[in-house]
Amino acid sequence: MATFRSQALAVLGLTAMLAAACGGTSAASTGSKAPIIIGAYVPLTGTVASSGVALQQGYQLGVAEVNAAGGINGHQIQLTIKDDQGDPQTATTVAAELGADPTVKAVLGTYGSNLAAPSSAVLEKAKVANIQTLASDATMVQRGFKYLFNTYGAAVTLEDPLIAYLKAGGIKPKRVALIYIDQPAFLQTSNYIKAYLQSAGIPVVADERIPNGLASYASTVTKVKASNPDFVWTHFLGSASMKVVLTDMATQNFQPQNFFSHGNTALDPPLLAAAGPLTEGIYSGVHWWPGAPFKTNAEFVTAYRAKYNTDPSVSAEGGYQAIQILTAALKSIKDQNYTRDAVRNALSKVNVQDTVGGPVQFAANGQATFAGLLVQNQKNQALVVFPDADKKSTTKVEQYLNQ
Amino acid sequence: MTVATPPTDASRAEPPPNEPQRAPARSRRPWSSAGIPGAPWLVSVAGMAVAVAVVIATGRPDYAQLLFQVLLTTTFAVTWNIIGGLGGQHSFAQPIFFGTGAYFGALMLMRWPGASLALVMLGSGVVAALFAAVLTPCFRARGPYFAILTVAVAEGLRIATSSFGPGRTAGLYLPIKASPDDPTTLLLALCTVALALLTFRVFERTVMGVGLRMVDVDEDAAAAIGVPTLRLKIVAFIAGAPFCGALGALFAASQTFIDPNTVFNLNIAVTAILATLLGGIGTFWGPVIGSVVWELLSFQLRDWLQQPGIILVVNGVILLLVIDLMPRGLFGIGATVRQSRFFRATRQAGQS
Amino acid sequence: MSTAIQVFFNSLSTAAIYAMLAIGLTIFLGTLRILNFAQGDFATAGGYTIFAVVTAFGLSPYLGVIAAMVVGAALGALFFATVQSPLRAAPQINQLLATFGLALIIEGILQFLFTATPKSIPGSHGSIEVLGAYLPTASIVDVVFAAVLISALFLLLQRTNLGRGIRAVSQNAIGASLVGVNPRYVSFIVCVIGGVLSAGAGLVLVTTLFLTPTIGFEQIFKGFTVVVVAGLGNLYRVLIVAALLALTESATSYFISEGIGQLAGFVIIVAILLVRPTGLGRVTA
Repeated sequence: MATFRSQALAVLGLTAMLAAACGGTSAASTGSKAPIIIGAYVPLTGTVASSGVALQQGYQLGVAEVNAAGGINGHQIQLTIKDDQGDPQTATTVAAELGADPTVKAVLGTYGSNLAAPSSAVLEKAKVANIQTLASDATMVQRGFKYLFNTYGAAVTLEDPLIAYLKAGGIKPKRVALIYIDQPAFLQTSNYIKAYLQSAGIPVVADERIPNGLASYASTVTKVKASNPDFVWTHFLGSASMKVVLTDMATQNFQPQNFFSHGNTALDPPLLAAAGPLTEGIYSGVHWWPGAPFKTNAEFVTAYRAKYNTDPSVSAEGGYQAIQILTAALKSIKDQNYTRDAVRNALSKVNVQDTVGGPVQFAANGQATFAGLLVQNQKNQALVVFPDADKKSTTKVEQYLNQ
Repeated sequence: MTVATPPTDASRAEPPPNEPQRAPARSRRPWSSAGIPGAPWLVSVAGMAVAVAVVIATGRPDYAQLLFQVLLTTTFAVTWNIIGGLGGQHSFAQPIFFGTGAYFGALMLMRWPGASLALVMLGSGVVAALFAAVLTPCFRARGPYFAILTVAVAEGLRIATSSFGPGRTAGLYLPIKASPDDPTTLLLALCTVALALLTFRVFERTVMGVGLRMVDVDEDAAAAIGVPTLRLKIVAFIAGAPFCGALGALFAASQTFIDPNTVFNLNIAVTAILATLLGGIGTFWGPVIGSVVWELLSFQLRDWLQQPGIILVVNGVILLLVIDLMPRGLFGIGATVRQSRFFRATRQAGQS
Repeated sequence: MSTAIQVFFNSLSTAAIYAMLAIGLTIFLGTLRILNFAQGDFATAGGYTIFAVVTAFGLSPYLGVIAAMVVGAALGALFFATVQSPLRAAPQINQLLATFGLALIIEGILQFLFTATPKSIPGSHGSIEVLGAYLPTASIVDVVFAAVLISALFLLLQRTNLGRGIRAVSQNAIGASLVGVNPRYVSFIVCVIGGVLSAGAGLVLVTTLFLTPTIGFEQIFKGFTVVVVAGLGNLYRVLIVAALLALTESATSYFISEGIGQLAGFVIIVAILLVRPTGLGRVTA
């Protein structure tokens, strides 16, 4: 029922919001020492919201701990978090907002290369250091940017431990099937492993590219089962699709001898909660997991569990690690003059030995060191199979781009 | 037997019944409120030009991005208003044109990075119009089935591009050609919106608009009296496509990244329809006012409400409020007020 | 031969989802002439209710389904109050958009209550071996459940006065009111029934997939395909078309690829609407 009062209220409300939209500056906080304002943008809504929320929690936990310990030489860190809605255009907008705000001294990035790539371009133009923690596209650091720091490495790096294990004879597959999500980045990893298999003379009996997010992959499973492999190599985007595939494999009684999954997918807490027994024995190529033996990791996992009631995912770890790196960089600025360029220079020189993901140092193009290990799910815990955590990767990434 | 002939007596001559009453020539001049393009067009384009100038002067990229978004939404709303507001055909096809233009523009720019952006936009507009022409068999369906069909094509294109198109789900990266705070981007967007508004104005003020409105009210009756309903619908549909396509190319160039979920997104259609409803469906100012209000509102809500779930709820509540309470939109708020029970009751009480 | 049977078994659970969504859509479209974009979100809400009941109280998912249906009924009532009732005489586009608004509200509330982290409950992984192929027990449960719900609906429509009233309103609303049926009451009941049915689809969603606030909205297009192809007026046709769509997708996925299997539904819908613009059903008044 259209009453005059409701109409007027609606119009007044909209006008007020319009007027307010023309203003909008961030409030300055007062304290004994000026806080260091760090911006961050993550997908809190949209399709990858769960990873975005975990990333935010990693950031917030890190900052809370630093501030509780006295901040950076007495300066508290103030985090300004914006929601990029998982949309590349919104990510560019909010990154531009953060870049245009002169009080923001550095920006922490978002989840996924599709959001990180365009938004980091905007931040480069705004000349503010930005740390991207979860972007695996190798072209991120090939644009000649000075202000971009990428802590995640190229995806193919996580295939090296598996290949080393195969070379060392840990598993001796005779017929390999590949199941992976149909996306260019996943083509990189699958081409990488196929190249090795070809060079080692191991036949690939099935090569299935699947779209993400389906309710059933039964047809693909039927096809792969018919080709009778003894080793199944997979690369999933998120554990939802993996759960469906594992369930379909169980109902069709398809139990290959060995199963590999790229990244932390097989260790994802929701997957373990919903389908733990099905993940038994799965190998994963990861750079970190909650049980990883890096120096500050155990405390991080305990603190995260206490605060958020769940184990941290790789997104949360990325966020927390970024804070650790940023803290080390900020602490190295001796004159406590935290300008954007000072922060950028400090990041480029930083060398942190004890992050939750191992030692971190940035190369000239902004790429951090990044190496993988091979772990195996045993009773919902990941146990290291191969190799040592401190070896660096020697992957030739450039060969496997643009295929 | 002779056939009766019409009276030739000059005093009894009347104008033929079907000829429309011609308005006096004076009020149809280009700058008047009834002419083409007319005062509303001049005022709206001038207003947008001022906004563009101000934003370029401040040099803030976030304002530029917001203004770019406003111009995009206005174009979608205006072009939808032609087929949906005047013609009553609720198409969800805007994302089809936008996405086609975006991918065409992206591929062109990746192949020839030095190409003139305006030319690429022109090409994308042409491609989008051609695609619209291909889609005209959709008009065999009517009412909700037409809507479902356009939704199906849009979603089907999104899935097809995700599965087989260039870049698949991961999308395409482009060499940085322009960015939203680049003055050229905003100027090109402004030109596109101005042309879209002009097209709407042409439809609105000519006999085509009359015909479309008849189709809206009762298509079969209109066809019975000789209105070329199918041709009108097709022309209205195709006329809106090139502007969405051109903006798609501009979007690809300025964002340097596109993927199927962003450009073939049904939210584009929903926002266009919502903005038009909010402002006043079928009117000239409706899409413009509605787009500005909606985009500013969304922008502000994002800032104020931190909880993502609450943002969705508020969006939905606003949508429902607009539709339930303001069917004529902001532009028609006077009429809605006058017709409301409360108003009429108080007026009666005042008069007695 | 066992491959063909396996392809058929693979399609059963998705057929159940499509059928339940499509029946709900048919109810809304047939009786109220509303294209309900919020249908999928009713199913999501039902799924989340089951999830909440199972994780909070440790009960069986089948008890959770009862709670889900109650939630579905409430959502149907909400639909009546916010969409159906105010917009009875409004243009179709207003109703369409209003259902969008309701969908956003439901998604927002779910996101607020459960966050966007995907949620699931352990489904059954067992299967029976039949004729050389594996029939998942979860599929049997889904199909039986869908069949029970739909049969209950059918009985309601054919054997009760209320059902007669619903059928009367869907054929001719004015005529129905002339013979004494109260259209507002019938509309309200139809909204509630639609809500209950959709929430039932949530059971299949929560055991098969991971629940996210937007998953229902993404599944709704399959429901549209079935409704358009089956036309209005015959519930059995909806069931058959749902099964055929699922089977076509399964077969296409097997013989070509999963990507093309997903496209099959849209190709079908476009082809059918181009040939028969009012769908395959009888044209209703």
